[in-house]
Amino acid sequence: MASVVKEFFRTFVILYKGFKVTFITMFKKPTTENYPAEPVHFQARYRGIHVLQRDENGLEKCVACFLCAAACPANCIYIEAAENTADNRISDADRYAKVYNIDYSRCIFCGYCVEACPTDAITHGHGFELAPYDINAMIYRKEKLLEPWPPPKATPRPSTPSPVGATR
Amino acid sequence: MEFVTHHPVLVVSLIKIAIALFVVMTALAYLTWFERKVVARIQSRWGPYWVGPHGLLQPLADGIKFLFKEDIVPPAADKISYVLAPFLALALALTTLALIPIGPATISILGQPTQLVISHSNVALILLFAISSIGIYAVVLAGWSSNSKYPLMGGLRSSAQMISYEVSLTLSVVGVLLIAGSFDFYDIVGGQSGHWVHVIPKWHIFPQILGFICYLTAAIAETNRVPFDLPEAETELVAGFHTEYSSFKFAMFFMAEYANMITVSCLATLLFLGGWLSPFPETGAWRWQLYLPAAGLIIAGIGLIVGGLRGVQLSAKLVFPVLGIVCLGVGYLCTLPGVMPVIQGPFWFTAKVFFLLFFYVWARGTLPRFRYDQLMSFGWKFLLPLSLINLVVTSLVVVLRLR
Repeated sequence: MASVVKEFFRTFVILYKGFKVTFITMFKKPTTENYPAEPVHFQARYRGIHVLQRDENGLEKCVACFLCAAACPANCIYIEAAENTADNRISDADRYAKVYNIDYSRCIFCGYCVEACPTDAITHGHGFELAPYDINAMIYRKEKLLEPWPPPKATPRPSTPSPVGATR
Repeated sequence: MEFVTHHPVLVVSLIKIAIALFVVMTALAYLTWFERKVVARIQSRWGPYWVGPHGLLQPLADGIKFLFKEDIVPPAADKISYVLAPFLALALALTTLALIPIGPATISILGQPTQLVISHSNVALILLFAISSIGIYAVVLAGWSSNSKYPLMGGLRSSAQMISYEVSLTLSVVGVLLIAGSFDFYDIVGGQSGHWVHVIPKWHIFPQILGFICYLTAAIAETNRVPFDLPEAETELVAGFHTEYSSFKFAMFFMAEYANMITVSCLATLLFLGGWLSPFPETGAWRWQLYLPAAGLIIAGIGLIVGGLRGVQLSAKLVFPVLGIVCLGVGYLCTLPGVMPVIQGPFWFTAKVFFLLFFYVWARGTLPRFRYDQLMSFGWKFLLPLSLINLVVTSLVVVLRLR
């Protein structure tokens, strides 16, 4: 009999704990992003659409070494190399990528290309809105992947750590 | 006009029914919105957000969706009972609300003095239980007439659950009846007026706390809500007795469920929580409580205006301030001497019912679902003995105090 009474009150303690948790959660800010009404908060490490970086002089960092294409497990990077000349200097080294295509219908965003790159030319940005009506539009050319030059003013890349991540 | 003058009672009743139906239907619709919002917040989500500002038009969109869906009647179904079942469910669920009084005041409609209840009966409680227990027939009919295995089993399961818990539900109420000595809601609530030691209101919840717990649990089970929502159990079963229902017939079952929720919450308010009585003493020092409805509405109005203007969506910026101004206007009306005493009852009644409904949703966001055998053993081996103990103790106390 005593154990039954004990069990009875223990149940209420358990219920109280459970209801407390849900009640407190009710007044917290939802974790869900209110996309597209509000901008999405990314973790800094988020692997989105690639960005081809430039150095401080605006020259492309990519030297067309093909290491990213070799590292790519989905085989989605296509590069055509060309020699830099005195009057057509694209990158700092001997060669530059004349064509640099990433096929986003195949890319798995594994980040191996970024790890393989010896010049830190290819990086992951935070873009993610890839969906097109035409699958051919999923092949992104170098012009689309490159960082704009001269850098646009007052539009920092959304690489700030997410407030959600900060509170956790 | 001649009809109005010749049948004043009938016309006044019809007006009251129309108002009540409008209020209850709106409440039903927005109860779904409220539930989705609260459960979403419990689960760290936003809930409905895109149809209208903060998803406020979501119930309307849902209704339109239900109306325009294809209304399928299975070829093997028993047509008459198949169509009858959802009508029965909704009609019975709404009928019970006619017996619920929301305030002590007598108002005058078309020069006819009338109470704040559609039908005042001196056996209202029995009548209410009688009507609501017919609701099980809707479940059985729906399950059987679909002529399909899942609805049949679902219907059996649900009717077994509803009948089992109805026993505890009714027994848990008997304690209150013994104390009140009446089936009339006006008497039951009237008996709860006054205070112990000037602070604790003489509501039945305090002497009948066991009965209240039993009632609340049984009521949740009776209305097929989480954690007793085995009739639907959408995550592990097909929808149960309404598997074969689509379109507006399904919506009617859905509305019946929410109407039942409102009914049992109203009943709990009347029986245990002092109905329309204010929790504060009605002495001079507590006179400020008469301004609480107005204050609540004005705060809500200001909140709506400020929140709306600060909102992101244009629709919110337009709709919320308008709603806020309406709230302010109604709040001002509530301070008028003619309106203030009338509004007190409905205000406290609605507040308590709202709290209970919130508890319902809160429980849904908190508790996991029972297994069927757990449900049955809980109902018969725990809840029924508990309500019987409560009944025996209450009757002993009542008899000893009478002597």
